[in-house]
Amino acid sequence: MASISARRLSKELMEIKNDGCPVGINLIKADDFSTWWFTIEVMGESLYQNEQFTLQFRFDPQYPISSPAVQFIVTEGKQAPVHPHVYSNGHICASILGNEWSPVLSVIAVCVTLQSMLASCKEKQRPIDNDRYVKHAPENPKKTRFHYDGECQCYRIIPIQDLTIRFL
Amino acid sequence: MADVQDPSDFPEHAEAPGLRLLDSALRCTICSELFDGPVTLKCGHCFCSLCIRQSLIEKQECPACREEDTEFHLRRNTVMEEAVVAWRDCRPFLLQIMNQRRDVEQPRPSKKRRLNAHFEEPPSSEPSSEASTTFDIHHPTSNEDEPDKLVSCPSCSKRVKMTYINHHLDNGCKDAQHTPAPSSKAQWENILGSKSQVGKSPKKKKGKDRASSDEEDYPLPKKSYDTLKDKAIKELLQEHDLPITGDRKTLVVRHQRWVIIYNSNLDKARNLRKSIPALRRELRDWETLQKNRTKHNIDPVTHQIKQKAEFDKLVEAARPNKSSSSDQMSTPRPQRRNSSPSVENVILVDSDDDEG
Repeated sequence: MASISARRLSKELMEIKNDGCPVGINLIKADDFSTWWFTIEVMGESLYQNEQFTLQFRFDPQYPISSPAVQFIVTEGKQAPVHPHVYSNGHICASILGNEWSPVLSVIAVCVTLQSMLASCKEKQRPIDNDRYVKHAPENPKKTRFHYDGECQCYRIIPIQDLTIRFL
Repeated sequence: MADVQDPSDFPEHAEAPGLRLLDSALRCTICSELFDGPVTLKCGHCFCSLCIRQSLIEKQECPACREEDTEFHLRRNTVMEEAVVAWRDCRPFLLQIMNQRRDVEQPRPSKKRRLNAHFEEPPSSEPSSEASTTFDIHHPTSNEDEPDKLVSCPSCSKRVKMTYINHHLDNGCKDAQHTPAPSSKAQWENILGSKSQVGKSPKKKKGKDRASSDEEDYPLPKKSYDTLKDKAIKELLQEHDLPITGDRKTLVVRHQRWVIIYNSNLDKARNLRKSIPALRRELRDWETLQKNRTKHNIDPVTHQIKQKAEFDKLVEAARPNKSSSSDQMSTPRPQRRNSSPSVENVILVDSDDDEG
């Protein structure tokens, strides 16, 4: 029995292969059902003209009930966009990736949301607490409990005993 | 994963109006499968019972419109269920017709549509199979009324019963003759013959009688495990002949999952329900899957031991900093460490940012 997450992801993949990605988004790696990479560009006029970023999705077996771990890649010469909701380690403070995640959302839906998040940016700057957060950030952004107040100043690291995987 | 089906199996709107939409309308937006035990929420959105029950545990709202809801409001959507059963039967049949129609259509210049130009192949020398004609007004026959009638397979020309032609084709024409399509419906019907207590050596009599009676229709109540002793949880499991191995957490998770599986099974029509042993197997498979995946996760304690050297280095590096500068964020080197998972073991104590 293939797991639900694998089946659902294979359907999403098929849809991408059949219909293609939205403009500015390209699938570059999906070798398995645990990690996918996309490139993302903001089309039209924006602060990020001619910049290309790489998004990483990681899925756990509870996907789509639980959200994917999404972040920008900041290794291999790649950079995270300078944006008030994007930390320099690639972590993203977006409610859709945390408490606003819904299992009816899809990988492409997340890509499009992040694309429009970049497109609507008014001023290129890092989150105010960037340095402090990056210094202590967990490897997996899902382990950070962001506060989605639009300001990105507050965050909290979940205590270690909560890090064990939750069964539903 | 050859068995993955999705709406794109059907051609686009221009070629087959509505079919793609119909196929996607009959699918749960959580698992993307055809509805399995569809239930409707207060807001009217519909999901598989198992899917929405899992989702509601995480968050008590409709995943589609975010309206607040709980599982008490779940109502069986029997009409949808019937539609899905019919669609499941009809889907492979329809797909086959579409394909054949495409093949037949190409040599005919009279058709207006010029889509699929790339399908143009030399017209097959074979006469078009009879099965292809349902949609085709030029060759009206009525095979679909006579399921037992033999038709010739479009690819190997063998005579096959109409009802089995899809299965025959799916198997690449090398079939065991009269095996019906292995639809889940058929499987369920097989299982149905063997009620609840098959192939299980009874360990405990307790609860058995209850399981086979009419009470099968009652959903299991949710338990608040925090108030229960280990022994009580074990009893709950034993009531359903479930294993009682593992620590407390495992037991709770097992029972929780069982309640979901059990209750979502009740949201299906009687003849579509799985037997209790089948549910048990499902639970076991699920547990195995969880265990395998969990192994990839790092155990915090062993990780701590393994990375001790790295930790010590970090601690060492942090020390002079603390003493020299005040604990402002004036670190000269930007500490960019994306690759160091060890930091996750640091528990932040932020005196100035203590919002709870």
